[in-house]
Amino acid sequence: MTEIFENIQRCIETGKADASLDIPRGSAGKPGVAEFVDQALAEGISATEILQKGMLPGMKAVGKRFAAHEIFIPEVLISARAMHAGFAVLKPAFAQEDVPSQGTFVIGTVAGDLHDIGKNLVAIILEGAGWKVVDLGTDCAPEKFAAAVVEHPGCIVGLSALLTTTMINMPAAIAAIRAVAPSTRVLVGGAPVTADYAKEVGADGYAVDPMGALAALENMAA
Amino acid sequence: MDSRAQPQRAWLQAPPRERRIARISTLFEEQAVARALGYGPRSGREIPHHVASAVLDVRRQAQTLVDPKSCWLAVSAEVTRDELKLCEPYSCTLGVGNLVAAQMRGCDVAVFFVVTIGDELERVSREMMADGDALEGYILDALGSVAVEACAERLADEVLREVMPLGWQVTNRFSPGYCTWATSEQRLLFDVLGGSPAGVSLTPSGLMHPLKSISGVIGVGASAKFHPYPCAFCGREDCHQRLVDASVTTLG
Ligand code: B1M
Repeated sequence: MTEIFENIQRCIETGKADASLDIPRGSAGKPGVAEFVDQALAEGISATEILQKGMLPGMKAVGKRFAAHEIFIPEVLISARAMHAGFAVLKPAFAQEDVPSQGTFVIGTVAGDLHDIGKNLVAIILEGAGWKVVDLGTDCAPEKFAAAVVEHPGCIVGLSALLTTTMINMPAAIAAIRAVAPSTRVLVGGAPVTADYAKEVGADGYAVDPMGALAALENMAA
Repeated sequence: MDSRAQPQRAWLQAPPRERRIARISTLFEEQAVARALGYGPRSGREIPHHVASAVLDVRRQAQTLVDPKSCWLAVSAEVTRDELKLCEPYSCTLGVGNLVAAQMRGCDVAVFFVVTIGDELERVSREMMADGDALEGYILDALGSVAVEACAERLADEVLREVMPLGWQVTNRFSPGYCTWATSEQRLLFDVLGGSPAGVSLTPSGLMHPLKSISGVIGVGASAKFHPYPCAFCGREDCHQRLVDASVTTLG
Protein backbone atom coordinates (compact mmCIF):
# COMPACT_ATOMS: atom_id res chain seq x y z
CA MET A 1 0.00 0.00 0.00
CA THR A 2 2.74 2.49 0.88
CA GLU A 3 4.37 1.84 -2.50
CA ILE A 4 1.47 3.39 -4.39
CA PHE A 5 1.60 6.48 -2.18
CA GLU A 6 5.34 6.73 -2.76
CA ASN A 7 4.77 6.49 -6.49
CA ILE A 8 2.15 9.24 -6.41
CA GLN A 9 4.39 11.42 -4.28
CA ARG A 10 7.39 10.89 -6.57
CA CYS A 11 5.32 11.72 -9.68
CA ILE A 12 4.02 14.93 -8.06
CA GLU A 13 7.60 15.90 -7.23
CA THR A 14 8.88 15.27 -10.75
CA GLY A 15 5.75 16.69 -12.39
CA LYS A 16 4.86 13.45 -14.14
CA ALA A 17 1.13 14.19 -14.55
CA ASP A 18 0.29 11.20 -16.75
CA ALA A 19 1.77 8.49 -18.95
CA SER A 20 1.88 10.67 -22.06
CA LEU A 21 4.36 13.13 -20.52
CA ASP A 22 8.08 12.68 -21.07
CA ILE A 23 8.99 14.24 -17.70
CA PRO A 24 11.50 13.19 -16.51
CA ARG A 25 13.13 12.47 -19.85
CA GLY A 26 12.63 8.90 -21.02
CA SER A 27 9.49 8.34 -18.94
CA ALA A 28 6.92 8.58 -21.75
CA GLY A 29 4.53 5.63 -21.59
CA LYS A 30 5.23 4.99 -17.92
CA PRO A 31 2.45 5.69 -15.41
CA GLY A 32 2.12 9.15 -13.87
CA VAL A 33 -0.06 10.67 -11.16
CA ALA A 34 -3.31 10.10 -13.10
CA GLU A 35 -2.59 6.38 -13.63
CA PHE A 36 -1.35 5.77 -10.07
CA VAL A 37 -4.35 7.56 -8.56
CA ASP A 38 -6.63 5.51 -10.80
CA GLN A 39 -4.87 2.33 -9.68
CA ALA A 40 -5.18 3.33 -6.03
CA LEU A 41 -8.93 3.91 -6.40
CA ALA A 42 -9.26 0.53 -8.14
CA GLU A 43 -7.46 -1.06 -5.16
CA GLY A 44 -10.19 0.37 -2.93
CA ILE A 45 -8.16 3.13 -1.30
CA SER A 46 -10.31 6.13 -0.38
CA ALA A 47 -9.89 9.46 -2.14
CA THR A 48 -9.11 11.10 1.22
CA GLU A 49 -6.27 8.67 1.87
CA ILE A 50 -4.85 9.11 -1.64
CA LEU A 51 -4.90 12.86 -1.14
CA GLN A 52 -3.50 12.84 2.40
CA LYS A 53 -0.86 10.14 1.98
CA GLY A 54 0.18 10.51 -1.65
CA MET A 55 -0.60 13.84 -3.27
CA LEU A 56 -0.27 16.35 -0.42
CA PRO A 57 3.05 14.94 0.86
CA GLY A 58 4.23 15.22 -2.77
CA MET A 59 3.36 18.92 -2.88
CA LYS A 60 4.92 19.43 0.57
CA ALA A 61 8.18 17.96 -0.68
CA VAL A 62 7.98 20.34 -3.66
CA GLY A 63 7.56 23.22 -1.21
CA LYS A 64 10.64 22.16 0.73
CA ARG A 65 12.78 21.95 -2.41
CA PHE A 66 11.50 25.35 -3.54
CA ALA A 67 12.32 26.89 -0.15
CA ALA A 68 15.83 25.39 -0.40
CA HIS A 69 16.22 26.98 -3.89
CA GLU A 70 16.66 23.54 -5.45
CA ILE A 71 13.77 24.17 -7.82
CA PHE A 72 12.04 27.31 -9.13
CA ILE A 73 8.55 28.48 -10.07
CA PRO A 74 8.43 26.66 -13.46
CA GLU A 75 9.06 23.33 -11.75
CA VAL A 76 6.51 24.13 -9.02
CA LEU A 77 3.97 24.81 -11.78
CA ILE A 78 4.79 21.50 -13.42
CA SER A 79 4.14 19.78 -10.08
CA ALA A 80 0.93 21.78 -9.63
CA ARG A 81 -0.17 20.50 -13.03
CA ALA A 82 0.49 16.95 -11.84
CA MET A 83 -1.63 17.66 -8.73
CA HIS A 84 -4.44 18.86 -10.99
CA ALA A 85 -4.19 15.64 -13.01
CA GLY A 86 -4.61 13.69 -9.76
CA PHE A 87 -7.57 15.83 -8.68
CA ALA A 88 -9.27 15.25 -12.04
CA VAL A 89 -9.19 11.48 -11.46
CA LEU A 90 -10.29 11.86 -7.84
CA LYS A 91 -13.20 14.19 -8.61
CA PRO A 92 -15.94 11.53 -8.95
CA ALA A 93 -14.76 9.84 -5.73
CA PHE A 94 -14.72 13.23 -3.95
CA ALA A 95 -18.39 13.62 -4.83
CA GLN A 96 -19.19 10.39 -2.92
CA GLU A 97 -16.85 10.83 0.04
CA ASP A 98 -17.01 13.68 2.47
CA VAL A 99 -13.46 14.85 1.83
CA PRO A 100 -12.36 17.56 4.27
CA SER A 101 -11.25 20.58 2.21
CA GLN A 102 -8.10 22.46 3.17
CA GLY A 103 -10.26 25.59 3.40
CA THR A 104 -11.34 28.48 1.23
CA PHE A 105 -8.91 31.16 0.11
CA VAL A 106 -10.23 34.32 -1.52
CA ILE A 107 -7.56 36.19 -3.46
CA GLY A 108 -7.47 39.40 -5.47
CA THR A 109 -5.17 42.20 -6.59
CA VAL A 110 -5.95 45.43 -4.74
CA ALA A 111 -7.69 48.49 -6.19
CA GLY A 112 -5.74 50.36 -8.83
CA ASP A 113 -3.55 47.36 -9.65
CA LEU A 114 -4.00 45.52 -12.94
CA HIS A 115 -1.12 43.13 -12.46
CA ASP A 116 -2.23 39.53 -12.01
CA ILE A 117 0.53 37.06 -12.86
CA GLY A 118 1.78 36.79 -9.26
CA LYS A 119 -1.73 36.42 -7.87
CA ASN A 120 -2.52 33.77 -10.50
CA LEU A 121 0.55 31.75 -9.55
CA VAL A 122 -0.45 31.84 -5.89
CA ALA A 123 -4.01 30.77 -6.82
CA ILE A 124 -2.88 27.91 -9.08
CA ILE A 125 -0.40 26.51 -6.58
CA LEU A 126 -2.79 26.72 -3.62
CA GLU A 127 -5.51 25.07 -5.68
CA GLY A 128 -3.00 22.38 -6.56
CA ALA A 129 -2.44 21.88 -2.83
CA GLY A 130 -6.13 21.26 -2.22
CA TRP A 131 -7.42 24.70 -1.24
CA LYS A 132 -10.69 25.96 -2.66
CA VAL A 133 -9.59 29.20 -4.31
CA VAL A 134 -11.95 32.05 -5.18
CA ASP A 135 -10.14 34.42 -7.53
CA LEU A 136 -11.65 37.91 -7.51
CA GLY A 137 -9.35 39.16 -10.30
CA THR A 138 -7.48 42.47 -10.49
CA ASP A 139 -8.29 46.04 -9.44
CA CYS A 140 -10.56 44.83 -6.61
CA ALA A 141 -12.31 47.56 -4.66
CA PRO A 142 -12.48 47.02 -0.88
CA GLU A 143 -16.22 46.29 -1.18
CA LYS A 144 -15.46 43.38 -3.50
CA PHE A 145 -13.32 41.71 -0.83
CA ALA A 146 -15.97 42.44 1.80
CA ALA A 147 -18.72 40.86 -0.33
CA ALA A 148 -16.58 37.76 -0.92
CA VAL A 149 -15.97 37.34 2.81
CA VAL A 150 -19.72 37.43 3.42
CA GLU A 151 -20.27 34.89 0.64
CA HIS A 152 -17.54 32.53 1.92
CA PRO A 153 -17.73 32.54 5.72
CA GLY A 154 -14.53 31.46 7.45
CA CYS A 155 -12.38 32.03 4.38
CA ILE A 156 -8.84 33.41 4.50
CA VAL A 157 -8.26 36.43 2.24
CA GLY A 158 -5.15 37.12 0.17
CA LEU A 159 -4.25 40.58 -1.13
CA SER A 160 -1.67 41.08 -3.87
CA ALA A 161 0.01 44.26 -5.22
CA LEU A 162 2.77 45.07 -7.72
CA LEU A 163 3.96 48.56 -6.79
CA THR A 164 4.20 50.73 -3.68
CA THR A 165 1.72 53.10 -5.36
CA THR A 166 -0.96 50.36 -5.35
CA MET A 167 0.14 48.52 -2.20
CA ILE A 168 -1.13 51.51 -0.21
CA ASN A 169 -4.66 50.36 -1.04
CA MET A 170 -4.24 47.29 1.18
CA PRO A 171 -5.32 48.97 4.46
CA ALA A 172 -8.68 50.02 2.97
CA ALA A 173 -9.29 46.47 1.76
CA ILE A 174 -8.42 45.05 5.19
CA ALA A 175 -10.69 47.59 6.91
CA ALA A 176 -13.61 46.67 4.62
CA ILE A 177 -13.07 42.95 5.25
CA ARG A 178 -12.85 43.36 9.03
CA ALA A 179 -15.94 45.62 9.04
CA VAL A 180 -18.09 42.71 7.85
CA ALA A 181 -16.19 39.81 9.45
CA PRO A 182 -13.77 41.00 12.16
CA SER A 183 -12.03 37.66 12.69
CA THR A 184 -11.13 37.14 9.03
CA ARG A 185 -7.46 36.36 8.58
CA VAL A 186 -5.66 38.26 5.83
CA LEU A 187 -2.47 37.32 4.01
CA VAL A 188 -0.62 39.92 1.93
CA GLY A 189 2.03 39.55 -0.75
CA GLY A 190 3.51 40.93 -3.96
CA ALA A 191 6.90 42.36 -4.94
CA PRO A 192 6.88 45.63 -2.92
CA VAL A 193 5.24 44.12 0.20
CA THR A 194 7.38 43.24 3.22
CA ALA A 195 6.76 41.51 6.54
CA ASP A 196 7.08 44.90 8.26
CA TYR A 197 4.48 46.42 5.97
CA ALA A 198 2.15 43.46 6.60
CA LYS A 199 2.42 44.12 10.33
CA GLU A 200 1.93 47.84 9.86
CA VAL A 201 -1.38 47.36 8.00
CA GLY A 202 -2.65 44.74 10.44
CA ALA A 203 -2.46 41.72 8.15
CA ASP A 204 -2.16 38.30 9.80
CA GLY A 205 0.53 37.06 7.49
CA TYR A 206 2.93 37.87 4.68
CA ALA A 207 4.32 35.53 2.06
CA VAL A 208 7.13 36.18 -0.36
CA ASP A 209 5.98 33.55 -2.87
CA PRO A 210 3.25 30.92 -3.48
CA MET A 211 4.92 28.20 -1.42
CA GLY A 212 5.31 30.69 1.42
CA ALA A 213 1.61 31.46 1.03
CA LEU A 214 0.83 27.76 1.33
CA ALA A 215 2.88 27.46 4.50
CA ALA A 216 1.26 30.60 5.94
CA LEU A 217 -2.24 29.29 5.21
CA GLU A 218 -1.43 25.97 6.83
CA ASN A 219 -0.29 27.83 9.95
CA MET A 220 -3.38 30.01 9.98
CA ALA A 221 -5.70 27.05 9.49
CA ALA A 222 -3.99 24.93 12.17
CA MET B 1 32.64 79.17 -29.18
CA ASP B 2 32.55 75.38 -29.14
CA SER B 3 31.70 74.23 -32.65
CA ARG B 4 29.40 71.62 -31.13
CA ALA B 5 27.20 74.14 -29.28
CA GLN B 6 25.01 74.82 -32.28
CA PRO B 7 24.32 71.16 -33.20
CA GLN B 8 23.76 70.41 -29.50
CA ARG B 9 21.15 73.17 -29.26
CA ALA B 10 19.43 71.96 -32.43
CA TRP B 11 19.40 68.40 -31.11
CA LEU B 12 17.81 69.57 -27.84
CA GLN B 13 15.01 71.27 -29.72
CA ALA B 14 13.88 68.11 -31.49
CA PRO B 15 10.39 66.89 -30.58
CA PRO B 16 9.88 63.51 -28.83
CA ARG B 17 11.22 60.61 -30.94
CA GLU B 18 8.65 57.84 -31.29
CA ARG B 19 9.96 54.65 -32.88
CA ARG B 20 8.87 51.11 -33.61
CA ILE B 21 11.65 48.75 -32.48
CA ALA B 22 12.85 46.29 -35.12
CA ARG B 23 14.63 42.89 -35.03
CA ILE B 24 12.10 41.39 -32.65
CA SER B 25 13.66 37.93 -32.59
CA THR B 26 16.76 39.34 -30.86
CA LEU B 27 14.78 40.70 -27.90
CA PHE B 28 14.70 37.37 -26.04
CA GLU B 29 18.28 36.76 -24.97
CA GLU B 30 18.68 33.24 -23.58
CA GLN B 31 20.57 34.07 -20.37
CA ALA B 32 18.16 36.87 -19.56
CA VAL B 33 15.20 34.52 -20.00
CA ALA B 34 16.79 31.95 -17.68
CA ARG B 35 17.37 34.69 -15.09
CA ALA B 36 13.79 35.94 -15.38
CA LEU B 37 12.56 32.42 -14.64
CA GLY B 38 14.73 32.22 -11.53
CA TYR B 39 17.68 30.26 -12.97
CA GLY B 40 21.05 31.63 -13.93
CA PRO B 41 24.21 32.61 -12.04
CA ARG B 42 22.50 33.74 -8.83
CA SER B 43 20.57 30.48 -8.49
CA GLY B 44 23.53 28.25 -9.27
CA ARG B 45 21.17 26.11 -11.38
CA GLU B 46 20.88 25.48 -15.09
CA ILE B 47 17.44 25.71 -16.63
CA PRO B 48 16.14 22.08 -16.67
CA HIS B 49 15.60 20.37 -20.00
CA HIS B 50 11.79 20.17 -19.87
CA VAL B 51 11.50 23.83 -18.88
CA ALA B 52 13.95 24.83 -21.62
CA SER B 53 11.93 23.05 -24.28
CA ALA B 54 8.74 24.78 -23.08
CA VAL B 55 10.63 28.11 -23.30
CA LEU B 56 11.58 27.43 -26.92
CA ASP B 57 7.95 26.74 -27.86
CA VAL B 58 6.59 29.77 -26.06
CA ARG B 59 9.35 32.01 -27.43
CA ARG B 60 8.26 31.30 -30.99
CA GLN B 61 4.80 32.47 -30.07
CA ALA B 62 6.06 35.46 -28.07
CA GLN B 63 7.77 36.87 -31.16
CA THR B 64 4.39 37.22 -32.84
CA LEU B 65 2.83 38.90 -29.81
CA VAL B 66 5.09 41.91 -29.26
CA ASP B 67 4.77 45.32 -30.83
CA PRO B 68 7.78 47.11 -29.33
CA LYS B 69 7.81 50.89 -29.35
CA SER B 70 9.85 53.60 -27.73
CA CYS B 71 9.56 57.31 -27.14
CA TRP B 72 12.21 59.67 -25.77
CA LEU B 73 12.79 63.34 -25.29
CA ALA B 74 15.94 65.29 -24.38
CA VAL B 75 15.60 68.20 -21.95
CA SER B 76 18.22 70.60 -20.55
CA ALA B 77 18.56 69.97 -16.85
CA GLU B 78 20.54 70.81 -13.76
CA VAL B 79 21.47 68.13 -11.26
CA THR B 80 21.48 68.97 -7.54
CA ARG B 81 22.25 66.72 -4.56
CA ASP B 82 19.06 64.71 -4.94
CA GLU B 83 17.00 66.44 -7.61
CA LEU B 84 16.84 67.00 -11.32
CA LYS B 85 15.77 70.55 -12.20
CA LEU B 86 14.43 70.84 -15.73
CA CYS B 87 14.96 74.05 -17.68
CA GLU B 88 12.43 75.95 -19.79
CA PRO B 89 9.87 75.17 -21.07
CA TYR B 90 9.34 72.36 -18.52
CA SER B 91 10.49 74.14 -15.38
CA CYS B 92 9.75 71.31 -12.97
CA THR B 93 11.84 69.40 -10.45
CA LEU B 94 12.07 65.63 -10.16
CA GLY B 95 13.06 64.20 -6.79
CA VAL B 96 15.24 61.46 -8.25
CA GLY B 97 16.95 60.80 -4.93
CA ASN B 98 20.61 61.08 -3.98
CA LEU B 99 21.71 57.83 -5.66
CA VAL B 100 20.43 58.69 -9.13
CA ALA B 101 21.49 62.33 -8.73
CA ALA B 102 25.02 61.23 -7.81
CA GLN B 103 25.25 59.15 -10.97
CA MET B 104 23.96 62.04 -13.08
CA ARG B 105 26.37 64.61 -11.66
CA GLY B 106 28.03 66.55 -14.45
CA CYS B 107 25.13 66.00 -16.89
CA ASP B 108 23.55 68.95 -18.69
CA VAL B 109 20.76 67.00 -20.33
CA ALA B 110 18.22 64.43 -19.19
CA VAL B 111 16.73 62.04 -21.73
CA PHE B 112 13.31 60.85 -20.53
CA PHE B 113 11.97 57.68 -22.08
CA VAL B 114 9.25 55.10 -22.20
CA VAL B 115 9.43 51.71 -23.92
CA THR B 116 6.75 49.07 -24.27
CA ILE B 117 6.02 45.80 -26.04
CA GLY B 118 2.25 46.45 -26.18
CA ASP B 119 -0.50 44.54 -24.41
CA GLU B 120 -1.10 41.53 -26.67
CA LEU B 121 1.48 39.33 -24.95
CA GLU B 122 0.05 39.98 -21.50
CA ARG B 123 -3.47 39.25 -22.80
CA VAL B 124 -2.38 35.87 -24.20
CA SER B 125 -0.41 35.05 -21.04
CA ARG B 126 -3.51 35.75 -18.98
CA GLU B 127 -5.58 33.53 -21.31
CA MET B 128 -3.07 30.70 -21.00
CA MET B 129 -3.24 30.94 -17.22
CA ALA B 130 -7.03 30.89 -17.26
CA ASP B 131 -7.01 27.86 -19.60
CA GLY B 132 -4.86 25.83 -17.22
CA ASP B 133 -1.56 26.35 -19.10
CA ALA B 134 0.09 28.03 -16.13
CA LEU B 135 3.64 27.07 -17.06
CA GLU B 136 3.31 28.48 -20.57
CA GLY B 137 1.53 31.60 -19.29
CA TYR B 138 4.28 32.21 -16.76
CA ILE B 139 7.04 31.68 -19.31
CA LEU B 140 5.32 34.03 -21.75
CA ASP B 141 5.07 36.68 -19.04
CA ALA B 142 8.77 36.32 -18.24
CA LEU B 143 9.63 36.54 -21.96
CA GLY B 144 7.67 39.79 -22.09
CA SER B 145 9.71 41.20 -19.20
CA VAL B 146 12.95 40.23 -20.94
CA ALA B 147 11.79 41.74 -24.25
CA VAL B 148 10.86 45.09 -22.74
CA GLU B 149 14.20 45.27 -20.89
CA ALA B 150 15.93 44.61 -24.22
CA CYS B 151 13.89 47.45 -25.76
CA ALA B 152 15.16 49.80 -23.05
CA GLU B 153 18.72 48.72 -23.85
CA ARG B 154 18.10 49.40 -27.55
CA LEU B 155 16.82 52.84 -26.70
CA ALA B 156 19.89 53.56 -24.54
CA ASP B 157 22.11 52.50 -27.46
CA GLU B 158 20.19 54.78 -29.79
CA VAL B 159 20.65 57.75 -27.45
CA LEU B 160 24.37 57.04 -27.16
CA ARG B 161 24.73 56.86 -30.96
CA GLU B 162 23.05 60.25 -31.30
CA VAL B 163 24.93 62.10 -28.59
CA MET B 164 28.47 60.85 -29.22
CA PRO B 165 28.98 62.94 -32.38
CA LEU B 166 27.85 65.95 -30.32
CA GLY B 167 30.69 65.42 -27.87
CA TRP B 168 28.51 63.96 -25.12
CA GLN B 169 28.48 60.72 -23.16
CA VAL B 170 25.64 58.92 -21.35
CA THR B 171 24.98 57.52 -17.88
CA ASN B 172 23.18 54.26 -17.14
CA ARG B 173 19.41 54.36 -17.38
CA PHE B 174 17.45 54.84 -14.19
CA SER B 175 13.76 54.22 -13.50
CA PRO B 176 11.36 55.60 -10.90
CA GLY B 177 10.94 52.86 -8.31
CA TYR B 178 14.65 52.01 -8.26
CA CYS B 179 17.62 53.44 -6.36
CA THR B 180 15.48 55.47 -3.87
CA TRP B 181 13.65 57.27 -6.72
CA ALA B 182 9.96 57.02 -5.72
CA THR B 183 7.65 55.19 -8.13
CA SER B 184 5.09 57.99 -7.72
CA GLU B 185 7.54 60.40 -9.43
CA GLN B 186 6.69 58.63 -12.66
CA ARG B 187 3.80 61.05 -13.08
CA LEU B 188 6.20 63.98 -13.64
CA LEU B 189 8.10 61.97 -16.19
CA PHE B 190 4.86 61.34 -18.08
CA ASP B 191 3.97 65.03 -17.82
CA VAL B 192 7.26 65.86 -19.55
CA LEU B 193 6.80 63.26 -22.28
CA GLY B 194 3.18 64.34 -22.73
CA GLY B 195 0.00 62.39 -23.52
CA SER B 196 0.61 58.68 -23.93
CA PRO B 197 4.17 58.26 -25.23
CA ALA B 198 4.62 55.14 -27.39
CA GLY B 199 0.96 54.39 -26.60
CA VAL B 200 1.71 53.96 -22.88
CA SER B 201 -0.63 55.56 -20.38
CA LEU B 202 -0.34 56.02 -16.64
CA THR B 203 -3.31 54.99 -14.49
CA PRO B 204 -4.37 57.17 -11.55
CA SER B 205 -2.61 54.67 -9.25
CA GLY B 206 0.68 55.16 -11.07
CA LEU B 207 0.68 51.92 -13.06
CA MET B 208 1.72 51.96 -16.70
CA HIS B 209 -0.56 50.38 -19.25
CA PRO B 210 0.48 48.13 -21.05
CA LEU B 211 2.09 46.42 -18.04
CA LYS B 212 5.21 45.46 -19.96
CA SER B 213 6.51 49.03 -20.12
CA ILE B 214 9.52 50.81 -18.63
CA SER B 215 9.95 54.51 -17.96
CA GLY B 216 13.14 56.25 -16.99
CA VAL B 217 15.89 58.75 -17.54
CA ILE B 218 19.40 58.71 -19.01
CA GLY B 219 21.87 61.47 -18.14
CA VAL B 220 23.78 63.12 -20.99
CA GLY B 221 26.79 65.41 -20.80
CA ALA B 222 30.46 65.82 -21.66
CA SER B 223 31.48 64.20 -18.37
CA ALA B 224 28.58 61.75 -18.03
CA LYS B 225 29.79 58.33 -16.88
CA PHE B 226 28.42 54.90 -17.58
CA HIS B 227 29.10 52.61 -14.62
CA PRO B 228 29.39 48.94 -15.44
CA TYR B 229 28.45 48.21 -11.82
CA PRO B 230 26.20 51.03 -10.55
CA CYS B 231 24.61 48.75 -7.93
CA ALA B 232 27.74 49.19 -5.85
CA PHE B 233 26.32 52.62 -4.89
CA CYS B 234 23.05 51.18 -3.58
CA GLY B 235 22.54 49.13 -0.43
CA ARG B 236 19.39 47.27 -1.54
CA GLU B 237 20.69 43.73 -1.43
CA ASP B 238 17.20 42.34 -2.11
CA CYS B 239 16.69 44.28 -5.37
CA HIS B 240 15.88 41.81 -8.13
CA GLN B 241 17.73 43.90 -10.69
CA ARG B 242 20.88 43.94 -8.58
CA LEU B 243 23.68 43.13 -10.95
CA VAL B 244 25.41 39.84 -10.38
CA ASP B 245 28.76 41.05 -11.66
CA ALA B 246 30.29 43.88 -13.58
CA SER B 247 29.72 42.13 -16.92
CA VAL B 248 25.97 42.64 -16.65
CA THR B 249 25.11 46.21 -17.50
CA THR B 250 21.33 46.65 -17.34
CA LEU B 251 19.59 48.66 -14.68
CA GLY B 252 15.80 48.69 -15.10
C1 B1M C 1 -1.77 36.92 -0.79
O1 B1M C 1 -0.51 36.36 -0.69
C2 B1M C 1 0.37 36.56 -1.67
C3 B1M C 1 1.59 35.91 -1.50
C4 B1M C 1 2.59 36.02 -2.45
C5 B1M C 1 2.35 36.81 -3.56
C6 B1M C 1 1.12 37.49 -3.74
C7 B1M C 1 0.12 37.37 -2.78
N1 B1M C 1 1.17 38.16 -4.90
C8 B1M C 1 2.35 37.92 -5.43
N2 B1M C 1 3.09 37.13 -4.65
C9 B1M C 1 4.39 36.53 -4.83
O2 B1M C 1 4.24 35.31 -5.54
C10 B1M C 1 4.47 35.52 -6.94
C11 B1M C 1 5.20 34.36 -7.53
O3 B1M C 1 6.46 34.18 -6.94
C12 B1M C 1 5.24 36.80 -7.03
O4 B1M C 1 4.45 37.67 -7.82
P1 B1M C 1 5.12 38.77 -8.75
O5 B1M C 1 4.09 39.36 -9.56
O6 B1M C 1 5.91 39.64 -7.87
O7 B1M C 1 6.11 37.85 -9.61
C13 B1M C 1 5.97 37.56 -10.97
C14 B1M C 1 5.38 36.22 -11.17
C15 B1M C 1 7.38 37.58 -11.52
N3 B1M C 1 7.98 38.82 -11.15
C16 B1M C 1 7.82 39.92 -11.85
O8 B1M C 1 7.27 39.94 -12.93
C17 B1M C 1 8.43 41.14 -11.25
C18 B1M C 1 9.95 41.02 -11.20
C19 B1M C 1 10.64 42.37 -11.15
C20 B1M C 1 12.12 42.27 -11.38
C21 B1M C 1 10.08 43.36 -12.16
C22 B1M C 1 9.89 43.15 -13.52
C23 B1M C 1 10.21 41.83 -14.20
C24 B1M C 1 9.36 44.15 -14.35
N4 B1M C 1 9.16 45.44 -14.02
CO1 B1M C 1 9.21 46.11 -12.22
N5 B1M C 1 9.81 44.52 -11.55
C25 B1M C 1 9.91 44.42 -10.20
C26 B1M C 1 10.26 43.06 -9.78
C27 B1M C 1 11.25 42.85 -8.67
C28 B1M C 1 10.94 41.57 -7.89
N6 B1M C 1 11.89 41.05 -7.24
O9 B1M C 1 9.84 41.07 -7.84
C29 B1M C 1 9.34 45.53 -9.39
C30 B1M C 1 7.96 45.04 -8.97
N7 B1M C 1 9.22 46.60 -10.37
C31 B1M C 1 9.36 47.78 -9.86
C32 B1M C 1 9.24 48.97 -10.59
C33 B1M C 1 9.55 50.23 -9.88
C34 B1M C 1 8.84 49.00 -11.93
N8 B1M C 1 8.71 47.89 -12.73
C35 B1M C 1 8.31 48.23 -13.95
C36 B1M C 1 8.42 47.47 -15.09
C37 B1M C 1 8.84 46.18 -15.10
C38 B1M C 1 9.05 45.35 -16.37
C39 B1M C 1 8.04 45.70 -17.45
C40 B1M C 1 10.42 45.54 -16.89
C41 B1M C 1 8.98 43.91 -15.80
C42 B1M C 1 7.62 43.25 -15.89
C43 B1M C 1 6.58 43.84 -15.00
C44 B1M C 1 5.38 42.97 -14.85
N9 B1M C 1 4.99 42.76 -13.66
O10 B1M C 1 4.84 42.46 -15.78
C45 B1M C 1 7.75 49.60 -13.95
C46 B1M C 1 6.25 49.56 -13.70
C47 B1M C 1 5.51 48.79 -14.74
C48 B1M C 1 4.09 49.23 -14.88
N10 B1M C 1 3.37 48.59 -15.74
O11 B1M C 1 3.67 50.17 -14.27
C49 B1M C 1 8.52 50.23 -12.77
C50 B1M C 1 7.69 51.29 -12.08
C51 B1M C 1 9.87 50.79 -13.28
C52 B1M C 1 9.67 51.86 -14.28
N11 B1M C 1 9.62 53.08 -13.84
O12 B1M C 1 9.59 51.58 -15.46
C53 B1M C 1 9.69 47.72 -8.39
C54 B1M C 1 8.51 48.13 -7.51
C55 B1M C 1 8.99 48.90 -6.36
C56 B1M C 1 8.00 49.85 -5.84
N12 B1M C 1 8.48 50.45 -4.81
O13 B1M C 1 6.93 50.08 -6.28
C57 B1M C 1 10.16 46.24 -8.23
C58 B1M C 1 9.91 45.63 -6.85
C59 B1M C 1 11.66 46.21 -8.59
C60 B1M C 1 12.59 46.84 -7.56
N13 B1M C 1 12.75 48.12 -7.53
O14 B1M C 1 13.18 46.13 -6.80
C61 B1M C 1 5.43 37.28 -5.59
O15 B1M C 1 5.39 38.67 -5.44
